[in-house]
Amino acid sequence: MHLRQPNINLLVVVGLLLLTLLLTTRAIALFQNPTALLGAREREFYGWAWREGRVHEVGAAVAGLLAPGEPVVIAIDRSELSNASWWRFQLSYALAQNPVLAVRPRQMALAEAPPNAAVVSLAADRTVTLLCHAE
Amino acid sequence: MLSDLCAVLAAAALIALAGASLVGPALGALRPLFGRLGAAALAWFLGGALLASSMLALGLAGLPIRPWSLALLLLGAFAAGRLVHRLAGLQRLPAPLVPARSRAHLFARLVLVASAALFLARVEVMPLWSWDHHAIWGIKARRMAAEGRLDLAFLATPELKDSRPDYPLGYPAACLLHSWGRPPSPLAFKAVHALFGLALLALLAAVLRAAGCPATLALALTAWAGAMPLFWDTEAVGQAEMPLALASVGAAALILLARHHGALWPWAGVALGFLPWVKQEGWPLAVALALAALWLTPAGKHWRLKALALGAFPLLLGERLVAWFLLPPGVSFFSGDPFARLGERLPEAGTLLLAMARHLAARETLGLWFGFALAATVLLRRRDRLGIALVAVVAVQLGLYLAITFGVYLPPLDHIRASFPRITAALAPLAILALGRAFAARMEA
Repeated sequence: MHLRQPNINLLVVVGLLLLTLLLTTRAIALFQNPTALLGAREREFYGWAWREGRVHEVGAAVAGLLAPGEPVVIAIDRSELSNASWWRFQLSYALAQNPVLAVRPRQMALAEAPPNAAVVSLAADRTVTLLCHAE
Repeated sequence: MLSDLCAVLAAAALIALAGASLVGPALGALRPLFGRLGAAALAWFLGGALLASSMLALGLAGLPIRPWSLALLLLGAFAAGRLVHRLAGLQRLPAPLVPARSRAHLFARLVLVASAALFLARVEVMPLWSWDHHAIWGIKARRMAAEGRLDLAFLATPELKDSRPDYPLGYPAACLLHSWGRPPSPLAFKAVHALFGLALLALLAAVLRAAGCPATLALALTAWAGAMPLFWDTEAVGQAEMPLALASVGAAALILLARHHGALWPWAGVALGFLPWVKQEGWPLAVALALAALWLTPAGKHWRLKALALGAFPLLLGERLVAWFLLPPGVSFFSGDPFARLGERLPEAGTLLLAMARHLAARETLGLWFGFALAATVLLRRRDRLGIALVAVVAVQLGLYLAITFGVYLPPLDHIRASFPRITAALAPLAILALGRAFAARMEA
């Protein structure tokens, strides 16, 4: 480490040139295909997190059917029964204003839902339908 | 969509105005050194720290969380600042000279603008995908105000036990404040993240100069920071690492400047006091920075530290009161028997240290930690107190992450893989500040 001031200036200019090269490469890639330019962390976690994150699209669709604060029971297909606790967990995150009381098979959801709760059906293809509002 | 963005920008402008009014003439005096952007960034950060925590306190006392009430809060803070400074009759502080600008300086400025623009483009293009954002930070910002009232009861619901209900609320509160009390949309989260990033770049460039770096070198180092994972990796969007980095650089900047402009000591305290509001590791960071301030203050001038404590104490106390009485207990990283785990993991220490070193040396970090190690050597050899203090703060935080790895209840390699690169990315700006100080110390010799 015996740098003198002129060397530092040279270092700065060389550093800036290298940085310009890096930024140019990134800019070109970014505008060609944003997801092709994932960093190491994104390569590792983006796929998983975004797939899981898609639950928020379902959450947004459910929330769009409900009044703010209205509790909801989610009615699922029997084919999704093994994922019931997963859906309850995930939709509790995804729904900002509506407590998820339960996730049940369709018939049970309609029979067991308390009167102050709405019932929303979640099909296997992730489409959602409002079955009934709270009284 | 556009209305969300306009709402965030309008809130940010009012917060910066309120912050500028509260900090008062000292901020105006810093403008030649900090530039307009640096001064605005500092005002926005300090205003945001005070107003987000005040919003929570007033919300708990029954203040409606509505656009009109938040507008009143912002305007009230602005008016209070003006009144206090008029009554106190504070004078403008002497301003330092602005250096002449060379071609290299203009080139560095251009590269910094390109770096910042690319950061903004990336945030805009990529979806808000990070799971920890959705599960931990975002959900709190979206749920903590319901029908115009602050309501933290949802944190105790069993469904949210894994969303770290004990984590501090400063960042979600800042997001809520910027969206005027409405649940922030994905665009609002992105816009707030972009503001934190831009403020961090502006402050870093300013504080590098205040640490003795020539202006061109300060801009170049800041442009380099803007290309690092904290800015480039969109995992950070909507998470608390960027706000933590801003708060730590803000606190370091104010401590550094307060040594010459005494009126800034209480504001350095405010910045320190806000650190634990952002993340739990803000506590050790605040303590390390306070100890650095103590070490840098000449004997006989310890009255300054009273001013620092005066600024920090209300926020630190408020954070503890919220944590003790309002937030449900979470799962501690050291739950169970951490010492037994430490004993079990010591034989594999080499593997764990290697895993961490591999992340620090990854290509994405652009050689930062090699540079930091070199800077630490130079600063120690030259016995540069400011530089050693900065190195020590970063080293203490790295040591803390190391200790967590050896005691955490999670499998340590998985924990390193999932968290270590993200949390160390938040230390990058402080590490760059130490690096800048090493250059400055070399040039001063």
